[in-house]
Amino acid sequence: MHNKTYGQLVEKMHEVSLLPPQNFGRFSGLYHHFVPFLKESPWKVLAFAALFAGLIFYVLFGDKTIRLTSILQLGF
Amino acid sequence: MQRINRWIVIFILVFLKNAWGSVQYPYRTLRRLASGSVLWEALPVGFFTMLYLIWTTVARNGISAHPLFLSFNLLKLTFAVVITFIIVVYSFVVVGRLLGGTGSVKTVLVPWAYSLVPTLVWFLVTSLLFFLFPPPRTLAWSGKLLSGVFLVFSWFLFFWKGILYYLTLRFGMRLDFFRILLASVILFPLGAVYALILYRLGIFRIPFI
Repeated sequence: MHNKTYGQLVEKMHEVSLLPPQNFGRFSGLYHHFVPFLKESPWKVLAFAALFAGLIFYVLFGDKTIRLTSILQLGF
Repeated sequence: MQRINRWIVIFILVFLKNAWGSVQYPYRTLRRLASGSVLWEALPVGFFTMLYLIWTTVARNGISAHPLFLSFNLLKLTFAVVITFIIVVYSFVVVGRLLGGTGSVKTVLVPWAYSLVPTLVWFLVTSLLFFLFPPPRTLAWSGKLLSGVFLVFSWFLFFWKGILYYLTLRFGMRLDFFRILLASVILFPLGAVYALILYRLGIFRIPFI
């Protein structure tokens, strides 16, 4: 148990020595609150974001969206 | 022959492990890939990219096209993809260093290679959809539904690519958030001009970056 904790500590120190943690001043708390959602299984957040972006896109551009997807489909 | 088969299996397993990691644990996966000690793990991405390029050349020109014509098109596309990849990697390193980053080509190459996974998925799915549901889409409900699904799918891959782009600069060049923003301000317009040039040359309609 002690060795495991020590190993994790050494690993963390090594990480920090290579890459200093992000600093957002007074927004750091907010950043550290949201970032775990992107570190592990971000696809859940991405799926919602994609759905939302798709919806906004459709609201803004209406039927032009369909023309855009037709053009995109020719893009491979 | 057995050795080749073994390598193909290893390539597939490494690719699947890292591709899955890049969407499930992107932070941990890209941190490992940016260590600079697993350069060979970029090879499976190259292998699958090559398979895609062969597929798209045949899909675009038809299987009955002259073999010389197909070979020329495949060579042209492969050359453009390789050159684009090299240009992007070196741009990251140069711009990253200008902004105080300490990475190198070795630390950027592998994570950026895995950022091609969403690109490959998008191009592959788009090419398959082209045959399954040929465009143009109509204004009927089925056309609207397929357009909606395709759009959401495209946004999903775009955001996934965005995360991999951010983490490549974060771990590959060791930049912080604000320097990554600054790097993007420099890199994006250059990327747009480059994409326009490739479009005018008739190589990519949508840049394979």
